[in-house]
Amino acid sequence: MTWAWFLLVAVTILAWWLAEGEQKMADATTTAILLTAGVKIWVIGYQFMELKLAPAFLRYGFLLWLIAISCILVFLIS
Amino acid sequence: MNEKSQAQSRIPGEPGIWAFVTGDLLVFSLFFILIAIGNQEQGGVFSSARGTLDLRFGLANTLLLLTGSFFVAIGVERFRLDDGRDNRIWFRLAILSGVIFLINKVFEWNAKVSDGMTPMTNDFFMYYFVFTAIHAIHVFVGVVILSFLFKKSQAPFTPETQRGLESGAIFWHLVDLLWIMLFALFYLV
Repeated sequence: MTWAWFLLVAVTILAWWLAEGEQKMADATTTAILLTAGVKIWVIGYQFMELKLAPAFLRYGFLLWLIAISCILVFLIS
Repeated sequence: MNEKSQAQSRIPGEPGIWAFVTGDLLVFSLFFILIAIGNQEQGGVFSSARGTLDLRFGLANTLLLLTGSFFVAIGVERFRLDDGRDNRIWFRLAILSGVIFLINKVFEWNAKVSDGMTPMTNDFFMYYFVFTAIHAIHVFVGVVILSFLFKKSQAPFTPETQRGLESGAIFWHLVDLLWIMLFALFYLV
């Protein structure tokens, strides 16, 4: 549980750092920021919402939604 | 999946909460896509409007919700241990994180309005005020739910109480999860 919180905070700081230096590589940075958001959402779902215990349809349904919305957002924004 | 892991897997919380989570994820997905389309069509407007947001508010609120979620997850785990320890402190801390988030949000909105930014200014600020307000309503409802969890967490362990506690916790984690993407779209990209 604690590792999940540390990972989430670390990824948040990483995304903030990427946003601060956005002028360097705009498209790659935007993609990285959206992907780090996706990773955080997965950790929250898997660890805190306890999808790790859930039946496959729920766990993979959530993952499918996350991959779909992340791809759509990366496509539209990058 | 083998026989053992099938026997161990279960739906966390009440099945109904997952129907709600699914509906909310779909509604917010639409919000996320609207922001992304706005960003694509009015890149300059969105970029300059985004530049006026104070990243510190967004970062602080993100860390508050992540930490609140962590506390709730610990509270639920401790409840399941059923070792007689008072674990209300975790729910109290999570409530505190939610309340500070809301206070922070009011200050942030107030600062924007004082600077002349309103939902009528442009599409970015329309989305910003409307979607963050809808999310803030979720936070408020989450704080109310956490207050019930605070009381429930001292009840004797039963499978029903466990499911109730898990359902409330899942809602709180949903609130956190939705903010993660709003934070990325409004403040970071």
